[in-house]
Amino acid sequence: MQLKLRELLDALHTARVEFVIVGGVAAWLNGSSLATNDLDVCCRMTEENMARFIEAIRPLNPKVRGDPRNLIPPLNAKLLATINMLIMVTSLGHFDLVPELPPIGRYDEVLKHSVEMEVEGRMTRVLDIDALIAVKKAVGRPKDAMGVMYLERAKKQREASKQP
Amino acid sequence: MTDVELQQLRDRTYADVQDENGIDVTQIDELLAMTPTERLRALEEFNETLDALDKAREKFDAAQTTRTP
Repeated sequence: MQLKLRELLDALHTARVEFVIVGGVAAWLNGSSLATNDLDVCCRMTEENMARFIEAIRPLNPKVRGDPRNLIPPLNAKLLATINMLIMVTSLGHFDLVPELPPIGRYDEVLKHSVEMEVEGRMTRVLDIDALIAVKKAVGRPKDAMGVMYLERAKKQREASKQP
Repeated sequence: MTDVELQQLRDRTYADVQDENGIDVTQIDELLAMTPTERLRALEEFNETLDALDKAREKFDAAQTTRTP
């Protein structure tokens, strides 16, 4: 399943969804060269924002990823606002909604640990490199340990390039 | 290329571009030299390449299967 990142982000921006890019794409945008094939976003989990989120994903034929019944996620803002995690496959690739990111917290805290980047002409919030390292360390799986190595190297390279 | 440069080239190994964990530092430097938009496009292109390789492998596998008696 090919990941069409630009189109996914355009759908979120067009629907005016409040979101922060987290996970592997955030790591890549922060300079980690460990590639990923899914987009994870942390959203404000209000009904209003979930209504916008639904507006963004409805045309993308979303299905619950890994469910043999091909379940369609609840496209209902009130219900969606209560979920713990939404792991989907869409016509634009694998796309996950992550309401909470331990040890950072929910959207407001995630937002505080994000940076703004201009991506395809739109200002986009992306989890910052220190928060990404903290999240991966907290999860602690072997793949996260590898992610930490890449992020720490990217951080060192960034710092080295800033030195005169 | 001078003889010295040629010898230096012969002596080069992955250790010259990798850190202690085997991470290729040049790939990270290339990413950091890009704008966020360019980084995003690079990730998309990487995924497109993987997708094309997957499709080629599926085609190859299908061809192998049909040849099996």
